[in-house]
Amino acid sequence: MLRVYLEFAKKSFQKRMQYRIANLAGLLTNFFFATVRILVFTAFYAAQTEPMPLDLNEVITYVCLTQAFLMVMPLWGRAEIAETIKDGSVAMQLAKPVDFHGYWFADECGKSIYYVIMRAIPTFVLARFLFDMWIPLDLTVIILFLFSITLAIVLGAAINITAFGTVFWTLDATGIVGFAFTLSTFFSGFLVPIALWPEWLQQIAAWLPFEGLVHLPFSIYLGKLTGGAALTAIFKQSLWVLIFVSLGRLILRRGFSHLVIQGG
Amino acid sequence: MQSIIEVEDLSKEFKVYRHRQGFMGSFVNLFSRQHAVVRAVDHINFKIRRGEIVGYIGPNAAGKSTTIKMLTGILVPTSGGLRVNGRVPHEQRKENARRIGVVFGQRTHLWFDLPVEESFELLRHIYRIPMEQYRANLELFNDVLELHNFFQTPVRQLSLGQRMRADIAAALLHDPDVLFLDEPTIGLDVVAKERIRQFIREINQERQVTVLLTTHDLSDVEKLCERVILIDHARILFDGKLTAIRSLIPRERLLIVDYAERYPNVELRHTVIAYHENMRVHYRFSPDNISITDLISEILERFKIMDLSIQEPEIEEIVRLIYERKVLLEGQ
Amino acid sequence: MHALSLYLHFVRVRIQSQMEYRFSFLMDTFSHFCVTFLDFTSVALLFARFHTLKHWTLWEVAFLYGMIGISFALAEMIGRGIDVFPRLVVRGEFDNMLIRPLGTFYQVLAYQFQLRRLGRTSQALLVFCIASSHLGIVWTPVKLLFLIAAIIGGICFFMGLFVIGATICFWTVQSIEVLNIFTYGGTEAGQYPMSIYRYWFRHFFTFVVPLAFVNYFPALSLLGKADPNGSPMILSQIGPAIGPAFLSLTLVFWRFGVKHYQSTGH
Repeated sequence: MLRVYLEFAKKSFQKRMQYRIANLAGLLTNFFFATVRILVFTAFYAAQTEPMPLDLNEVITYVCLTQAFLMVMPLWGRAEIAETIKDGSVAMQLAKPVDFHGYWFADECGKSIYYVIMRAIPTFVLARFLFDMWIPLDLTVIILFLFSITLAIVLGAAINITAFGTVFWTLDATGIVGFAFTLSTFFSGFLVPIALWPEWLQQIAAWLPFEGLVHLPFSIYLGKLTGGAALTAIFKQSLWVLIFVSLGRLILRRGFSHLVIQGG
Repeated sequence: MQSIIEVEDLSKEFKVYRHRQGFMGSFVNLFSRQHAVVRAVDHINFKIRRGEIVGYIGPNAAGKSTTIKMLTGILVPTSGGLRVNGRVPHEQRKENARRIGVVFGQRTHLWFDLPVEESFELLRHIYRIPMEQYRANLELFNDVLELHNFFQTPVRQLSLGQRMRADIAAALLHDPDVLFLDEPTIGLDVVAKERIRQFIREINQERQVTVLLTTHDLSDVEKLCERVILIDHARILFDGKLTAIRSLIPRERLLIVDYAERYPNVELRHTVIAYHENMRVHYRFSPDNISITDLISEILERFKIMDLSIQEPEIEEIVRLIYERKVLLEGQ
Repeated sequence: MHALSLYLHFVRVRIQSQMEYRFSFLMDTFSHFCVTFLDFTSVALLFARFHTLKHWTLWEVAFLYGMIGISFALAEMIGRGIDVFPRLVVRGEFDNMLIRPLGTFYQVLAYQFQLRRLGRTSQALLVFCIASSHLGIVWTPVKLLFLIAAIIGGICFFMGLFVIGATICFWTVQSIEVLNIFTYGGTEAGQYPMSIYRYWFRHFFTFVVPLAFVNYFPALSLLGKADPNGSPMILSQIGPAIGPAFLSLTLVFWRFGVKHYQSTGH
């Protein structure tokens, strides 16, 4: 059974391969944003005398990581399958003997793997030379990070499917999805590292699922979360994955029965 | 009589890009691209007089649409001259647009997500059509095309036949001198085709609208045009009276009927049964002896049917015959 | 006059059809408001942590942020049609525009009107108003006119970028998203004062892509602040005019592109 979903993921990967020029443009855009953010942070740090939770090099590394993984996260700007719900062609999926949630998940993962190869890795290499991005040499850190970033991708896909699942009712997802994505962009620490936030806001972020997308894996990368703390972070991510997978499956099941009642 | 459309030595070339394969290839494509030049229209000449209906026919990809797109100002020609109403379309595009109507069979020129009425209103504003003229036209078009049935429906929800009726009416709202029709009957059923043809004929006769019609449906030409221009491989192969090549058009049509039940006698007047197996019957008939509409209504009266289709003779066949018999270009 | 009333007619029709999905529309407008609100919160968070940015205060940065935000949101609202231009080419809808007795650029503008960008516009306006009251700016009629000129200059600047992106489609058919660097990237970079950036970056956004002229320089003049890099004050005063000049230049490129339009399926 798993083979089928692997096949879906592979197909989704291959589909993306057609857009290589767009990918090149995207890579340039990532670099541009990284440059702006790094220049802004450099200016902020220039006049700074008191010690900061992250030093300048760590922030630069963090910024590079966000740009490397921006497209890998199955969150922002992925609406293809939601479009099939909107135009009704999703009803075709009912005829197939596969689980729709599983199919969607496989599709998102295929895209993520594509972006790991086409975006994340090139960004790592270039950022190492251009911005002196820091790369950990400790094997435990690397293994823990790989584990955590994988969970982050899975969590992103699970949140994505849950948010887009509402399309069954609203038929135009841009509203709710936009809202969910805004929250995730901010509370994941994508815009400003959570470590630089005021204490009270950090407390709020710790109770939300979004920190599992960016903050936790990147903190492990930077060696800010080690040993037991890193394992706790990974446990937290797993818990959120479980919650959102269940929620997503529930929404899709309800959605399909809604679709049947409506007659597509 | 004066010419309303003049085409002189007109050519259009397109650059077709070849894409390099592979990852490095797509990178190189960004900076330099290989291309081949394709000549879609090759030194063509013709003149059309005011009030004519001319069938511009030819096989697929012969250059029909490209010619229409140059005459309507969409494409800029590579070389040669052309005038519509004395204007050069791509140089005086807006002035030309004000005096012509254009319909593409392949897609609507109306606003896809707006109701027909809203589209018409927009056109009234765009062409600054006076209210009385707008109302009078709408009434007249409504009589023939029965637009009121779907006047409030968004264009995207219309059937192909309805959409075509709306498109043609919309193209005539501003009383153009010339109407360009690019495959106006493509994909329509027999009845819908007949209705469209009837309307084109009326508009031409009553308003002296010049019509240039591209089609690969020969019955369009037979029903509407006295004159045909036949184009093949970007060049004009024949330009003259329909009667001159009429003998080349096969007269016999094939009507294929799938009956819903088994009938003991399925013979029809003025037809010959060419093939009969189970409930499917092929009839050969000539439109000179019996009209298609009469034939169909007789069938529908007497029998229950599943499906019905008519095989038309194909233009490719005529093109082949012209080459074969070396029919000479008839000078204008 | 006819052109303007016809444009308003198009806009009205577009707004009506967007109102068909009212719930989604409201959610979307609201979410746009929130997106940009959290966007600004990030700027505020940085100031909460670092206090100053090379002699610039939070409210001075907010002033810049509001100005560029208003321009960009309005440019997206009006110029949405240029943004989706690749789609018009692929679907052959641009052919329909060429058979009408109206200018092509005009019709592309009239093709869409994205009212939901009101969310972003109002957020940027809110930030701008709060900032200017904190800074105690006295709005004389001259200053107000100058501000409006700067906003219009900004709208023209962003529309000019859209036009370049759209014109490239005449050759590539696909949209080349590189222009996002200058639109989205430009708003990102323009939120902060140009003076904080490195020499090469600053000059790029002044002389190659003239963003500084429609945002940073006019803001300096409104704030009564001298450029720490010592650029002459005259740049601030002529700044807004660069926007329409830039747009006209891109429209020359557009007209060149229309002549090379190949249409689809000959």
